[in-house]
Amino acid sequence: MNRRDVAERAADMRRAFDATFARAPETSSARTEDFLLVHVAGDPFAMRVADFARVAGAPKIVAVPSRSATVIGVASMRGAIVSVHSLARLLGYDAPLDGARWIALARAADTIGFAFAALDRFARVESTEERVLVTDGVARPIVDVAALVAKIKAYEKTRREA
Amino acid sequence: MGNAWTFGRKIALGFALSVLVLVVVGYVSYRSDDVLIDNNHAVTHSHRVLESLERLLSLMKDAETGQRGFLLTGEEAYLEPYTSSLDPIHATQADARTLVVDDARQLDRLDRIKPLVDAKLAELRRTIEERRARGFDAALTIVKTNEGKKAMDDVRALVADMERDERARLDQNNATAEASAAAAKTTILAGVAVALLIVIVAAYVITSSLNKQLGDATNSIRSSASELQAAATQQASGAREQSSAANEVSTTIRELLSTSKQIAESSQRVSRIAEDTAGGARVGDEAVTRAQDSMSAIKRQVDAIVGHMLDLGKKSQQAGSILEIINELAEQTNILAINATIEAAGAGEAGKRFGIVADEIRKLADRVGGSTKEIRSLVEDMRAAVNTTVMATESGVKAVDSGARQFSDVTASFTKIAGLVGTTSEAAREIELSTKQQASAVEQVNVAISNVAQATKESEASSTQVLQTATTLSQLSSALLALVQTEAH
Repeated sequence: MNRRDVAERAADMRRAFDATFARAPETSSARTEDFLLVHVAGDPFAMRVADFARVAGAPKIVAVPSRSATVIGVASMRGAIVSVHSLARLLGYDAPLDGARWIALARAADTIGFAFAALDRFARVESTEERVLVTDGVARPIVDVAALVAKIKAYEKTRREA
Repeated sequence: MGNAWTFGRKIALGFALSVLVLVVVGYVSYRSDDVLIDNNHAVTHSHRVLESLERLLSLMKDAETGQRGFLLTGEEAYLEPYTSSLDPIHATQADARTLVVDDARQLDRLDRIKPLVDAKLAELRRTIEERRARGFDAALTIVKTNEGKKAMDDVRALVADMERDERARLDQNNATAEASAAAAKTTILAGVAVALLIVIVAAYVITSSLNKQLGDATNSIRSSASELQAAATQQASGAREQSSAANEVSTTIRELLSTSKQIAESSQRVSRIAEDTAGGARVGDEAVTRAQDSMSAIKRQVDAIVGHMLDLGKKSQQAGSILEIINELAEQTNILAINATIEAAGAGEAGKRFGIVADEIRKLADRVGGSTKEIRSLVEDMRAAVNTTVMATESGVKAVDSGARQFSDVTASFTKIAGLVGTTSEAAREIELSTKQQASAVEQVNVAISNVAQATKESEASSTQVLQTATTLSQLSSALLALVQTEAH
């Protein structure tokens, strides 16, 4: 790739970006759904963007002692303290707690964040009721965020009651 | 007589004894001859004395005869015996005196005879003179005085005495001669007998010993002849084998000579090749020196390339760092777009247009991220290529260093090769010279072996001749032994 190719590519990107605003809005009848394609403990997964209130990269996580095996620590997101859980451990992997690079804040409970190591890309696909999303020939199980939140809360409730 | 005595000593002893006896016999004979000769001289002397005395008496008688004839006849012619006997009478007396000069007794008688003879002659002279002067009677008167007769008788008596002594001496000499002859005869007979005895004994002893020793010697000669015959046969066989071996050795030496010549030619070729190689080594040495200079230049260029590549690596690292920042920005933009999308979805219809913008920003961020990944990949490839190039270049530097060292080694090796080639050339020349000398020596050896072969053939011929001689000697010894044994029996 020479200097001319780079310049042409930048120009293409600029033209495409500008053209988007020059065209009329698309009125597609097809329902679409946004997913975050991630890797957890080396396995590909997909998470619905709608399940999260925010996604942050390279957060500073302060480790705190906890009886929960999934809790990594706490982090500050938009001025609020959230508890950060290891998505790998929540999915049943015996993975180390460190190495989290991304935190996705759950929409259903804005004090619970899921930490994971690799965010592959954003994907907008047609809505599906399947529990597995197939993209680029790779089958990715769709993470049931609501179930995970419920599990954390049930555990917290059990601890409080205990 | 011991057996250790040789035949020569035995024969010499026998001859010596015989000669000794003969010498004794000869001496005795000589002495006897001397005695006989002396006796003969004495006899002759005695006969001469007797003859002189008889002559004296005869002359005296002649004088008386002439005187008587003249007295009777008165004729002068009858005086001739008288006159012719006067001088001989004196000469005979002188002769007799010289003969008996060593005999005092006879000499004394002669001295006594002389005045008697003179008196007789004087009486004769007086009678003759009286006869002439006075005649016969006057002369007869003087005769009758008997003076003449008495003188004559005395002379006869003295002469008789002298004759008697001479005859006695003559008899004594004869007896002595006979005794000497008898002794000589006895000595000669005894000596001859002793000599014969010695010769017979010596002949018997020498013959016996000679027979025995000759028999032993003949047997030894026959045994030696047999051994010599066997040895000559073996020597002839050995000479034939030696001749065959010498021929084989000669053939081998000719092959060796041919091989030596081939070696000499090969050494010459090796010498020429070594000289060519030495020239090539010198050229190679110069080429290696130039190549070493080129290697040094290459090393400097490679060092410069390494420096540039390290700079390029640093700059690619810097580009990577910048790219990380861009990627970080793209990720942040992407996250920001995702969050904007989330917020837009939460805003409902009012946030739809914002969602579109957020989508586009996210897409742009994705594309930037993709481009960033692509650029990172390129940068990584470039960094890997740079690292590979740096490593390859460092390996090249090391290879160049190693090559330079190896070129140094090669230079040293070329120098050593040049030296060794020189040594090889010298050695090849020495080999050539040595091989020529060896070829010359081999030719000499070949000639010597040919001489040996010829000598072996001659030795074989000599052995055959020796064999014939040994056979002849054996036959001769047998014949001699038969002859000796026959004579011994």
